[in-house]
Amino acid sequence: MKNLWRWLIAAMVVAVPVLAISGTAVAATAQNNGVLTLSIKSVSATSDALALSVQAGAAASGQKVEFFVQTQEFSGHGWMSVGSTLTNSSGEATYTYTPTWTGETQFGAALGSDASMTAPTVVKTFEVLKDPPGVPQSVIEYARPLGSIGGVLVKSLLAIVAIIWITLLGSLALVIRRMPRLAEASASKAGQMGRH
Amino acid sequence: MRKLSNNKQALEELKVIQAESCASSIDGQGCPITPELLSDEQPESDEKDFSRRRFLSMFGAAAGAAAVIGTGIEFLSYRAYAQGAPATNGWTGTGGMTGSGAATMASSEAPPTHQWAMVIDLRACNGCKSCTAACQKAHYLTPDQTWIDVFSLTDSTGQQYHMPRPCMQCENPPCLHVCPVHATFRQDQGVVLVNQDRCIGCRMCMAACPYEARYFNWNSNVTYPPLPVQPTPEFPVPQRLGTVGKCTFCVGNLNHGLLSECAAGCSMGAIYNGDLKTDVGVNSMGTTIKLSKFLDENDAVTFKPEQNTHPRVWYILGHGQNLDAAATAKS
Amino acid sequence: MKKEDVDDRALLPDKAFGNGDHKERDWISDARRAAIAPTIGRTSVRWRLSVALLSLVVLAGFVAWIYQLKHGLGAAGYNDQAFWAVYIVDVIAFIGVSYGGAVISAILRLTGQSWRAPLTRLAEGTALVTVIIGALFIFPHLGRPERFWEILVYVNTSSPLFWDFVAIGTYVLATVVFFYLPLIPDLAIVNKVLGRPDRPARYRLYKALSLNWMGSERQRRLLHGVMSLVALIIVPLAVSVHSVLSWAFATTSRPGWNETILPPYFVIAALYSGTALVIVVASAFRKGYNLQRFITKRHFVRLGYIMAALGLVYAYLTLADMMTDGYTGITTGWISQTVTGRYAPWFWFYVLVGEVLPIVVVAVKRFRNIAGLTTASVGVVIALWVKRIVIVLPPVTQPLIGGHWGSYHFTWVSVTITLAGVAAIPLGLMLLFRLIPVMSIDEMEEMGELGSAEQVSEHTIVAQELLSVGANSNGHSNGHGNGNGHVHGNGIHVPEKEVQL
Repeated sequence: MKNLWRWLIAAMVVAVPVLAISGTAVAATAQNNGVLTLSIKSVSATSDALALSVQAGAAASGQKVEFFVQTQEFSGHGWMSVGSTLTNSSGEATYTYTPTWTGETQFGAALGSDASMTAPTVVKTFEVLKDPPGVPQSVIEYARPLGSIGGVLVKSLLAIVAIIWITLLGSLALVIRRMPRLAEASASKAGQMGRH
Repeated sequence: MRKLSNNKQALEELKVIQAESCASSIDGQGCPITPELLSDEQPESDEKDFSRRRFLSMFGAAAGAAAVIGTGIEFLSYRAYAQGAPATNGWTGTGGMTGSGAATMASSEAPPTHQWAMVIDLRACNGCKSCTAACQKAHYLTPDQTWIDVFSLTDSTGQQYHMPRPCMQCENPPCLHVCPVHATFRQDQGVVLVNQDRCIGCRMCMAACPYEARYFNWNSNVTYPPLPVQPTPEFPVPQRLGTVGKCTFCVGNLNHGLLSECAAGCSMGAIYNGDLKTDVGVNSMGTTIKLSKFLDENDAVTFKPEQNTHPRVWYILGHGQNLDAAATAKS
Repeated sequence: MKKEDVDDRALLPDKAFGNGDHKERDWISDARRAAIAPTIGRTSVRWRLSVALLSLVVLAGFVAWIYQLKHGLGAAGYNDQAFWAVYIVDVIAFIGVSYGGAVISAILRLTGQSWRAPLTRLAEGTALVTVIIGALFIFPHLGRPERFWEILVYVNTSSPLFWDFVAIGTYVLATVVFFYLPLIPDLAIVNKVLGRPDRPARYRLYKALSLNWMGSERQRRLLHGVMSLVALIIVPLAVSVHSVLSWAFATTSRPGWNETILPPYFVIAALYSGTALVIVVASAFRKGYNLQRFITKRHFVRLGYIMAALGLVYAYLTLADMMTDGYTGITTGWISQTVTGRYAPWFWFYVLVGEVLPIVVVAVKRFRNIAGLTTASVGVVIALWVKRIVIVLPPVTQPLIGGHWGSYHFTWVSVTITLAGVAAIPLGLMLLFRLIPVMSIDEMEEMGELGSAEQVSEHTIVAQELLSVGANSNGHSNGHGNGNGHVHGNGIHVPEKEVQL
């Protein structure tokens, strides 16, 4: 793990409950050349988005800063690049991060041009109440074949099958019920096939 | 280069963790699911629930159907996928099934914390088939049963490339729709599984799958070592004769923080296990990617999007060029 | 059945007809005799040998199936790139020929073709026997046949197989009803002929099943009304059943299966092979059961025309299917493999034996006789089975992703089970006609000899055929009865005493 910090420039992120503070800017100051600080710029009231800000020093305009998050998944040790932005004229780079899991999250940032710029990381706890758009909430329910018009098709087909069955069995029942009676009614008329 | 060193570091750690996890494995080879892994995530009562829910939804109208019809877009990229995905869906509980009954369960059951996915980076695949071997070893498959198969294909410039093909774990799986007895189902983490205790072996799903990802148990002469666990849909070992089997995404592994066998077995790190919920993907080298960003930046595609299956497996197109780059950098 | 002439005396029941000294009987009394004879009295040695031999083949099929259950479907040559093969072909082929038999009979009934009378029982019996065999072939097809009941319990209305199940079930029911209704008068006649219950069980069975039939006008009207209704139902039903069967293929995304043409393709194939099988069965039973006087060349020629017409339609559909797919080249794989590749022998066998042969036989007057038409029909039945192989196997074995072509190899298991199904047709029919009359006596008596006159010139037959196809005029048979009351009593022509010696 120590090797990671060799190239990772990171600064502390102050833990702030996600939905609690709106528009709070946490000042991040460039200490001197080569040391950066990472801080929370603001937290939106309406979303979980969290703005990360890196102060890369006044002279470091237009530099690429890459932001990292340490994941807890699949053995929980991977540093994941979540995005990168350029520093502005005051040397500040801002990235809006949306937490995607509940629990501890460790943040870091690196100066794209200088792998030696590292900083310690911080841990912050989030509680994700709602997934960002586009994440499958569960099993997406697509229209099943034949079910696409609200099952009407299936019901109609089953109804047709039922009608056929009723017709066939009904015909059979009709013949079985009525045939013997008709014979008795006209037994005298249809002489030749009379019973013994 | 920075990332590479990071990855290597992470890989070391990953290996340690896997070694620990597998210390108690069944035969010391690979990393099969341990009994605890199987038991705690999947309650026994699931199977009974299936039929009950199935009955509830049997003739019912597809609840989300109308909402979904409007999204019948061909999803080529992750971006499009994200935009097109319907926003309103109910939860089902762990091990639950898709179906219109799912919506009614929404309020009562906790949401799943993962939605499993996979990214296969063809730029890093050399077609060595070690993923296939790892999978077959872990699941005691016959040589024919390539739950993840590697196809050697030729692109339009005549260049050969290799494409591993696991089960795509489709969001809209044709195999599920055609199964006459609901033996194929999707559990709530998006993994399509087969209940081999129900399958009647009609192989309609094999006909329906556009990816040829299903494999039947044709012969009774397959031998299994004594296993301390009963087969489950998540880990169908030993498999039942006369039923169909397929890639399970090693969902038991995933739920315990381990990579799937194929991903772990790929020494090039071409296969990433991913979680759409946390938006994280990891390969065997420990490279951790922000899934949406990675797919977006690399123009990920799904396989056969015209089939409207909405796979959970994305491909980064390529022909192993990253391997060349890595080899050049080393020398 | 058998090729050789069976000794008439052996088939003839001694009790009912006495021994020897038959004076010249009129046509109807002969019809009665010929139809009833095989059901009573002793069977010939040849008959018993045939039944024993066929039973042996069927038994071998069951043994092979048990072997397959034990060792898995791999024993039948299946593999992951040939996951559907011979058994589903058998299902389609057998249900197909059944469909042909039922529809031929139903259409001839509905259009009032009086010449149908000696053929309907054979056609309906063939339909009944083959639909049962075809439905049973689903069991060797399944990997876990003992779980078949689950289709009814874990219903998935999205699955084509659920609808296959519904369709086949409905069709079996319709076939049974369609077979039973015309049987009612015949069973009464048989009992009448038998006279006394020398076989009490059988007599009681016939008595129960014949529903006290006396041939009264009101009974006749009721029976004809219901039969017309069922015949009317069975035609669209049979069409939809085979369409549903085809959708088990057409609803998948496989090139070669995912075709709009598949339902009519299957329907015509079924009609075509079914008509051919009716010719084969009629020919076999004509000889084996001495029905030469009733089933004549005229019947064969007419059925041959129908068969040839269906064959041409089927050739046209085959061409239409292959042309559209082959031209665009989207699915070049299965087309080229079918026409010039590994399936070419099968395909060209179908073309030669299943299309060229029957059309030549029907077209050339020299061949247009019973022997020629029977040969052609046997060819059609086999070639249409082969054609189903060509429909099923290329799309199954083709690689969808760019791997290699798979292959299916016949094994002794699959061949034995299929042959058992084939043997079960004559076996089932022989056993069936041991129980019930082989011809519809009542109908024949109703139609009179008109439908069976032998001394009709070829030109007359052609002319009649054209007329009947064109107009379906029922003018020549006012007695076919669609509940119009123009019926005469029944077998008055046969003096009872004579029959009841």
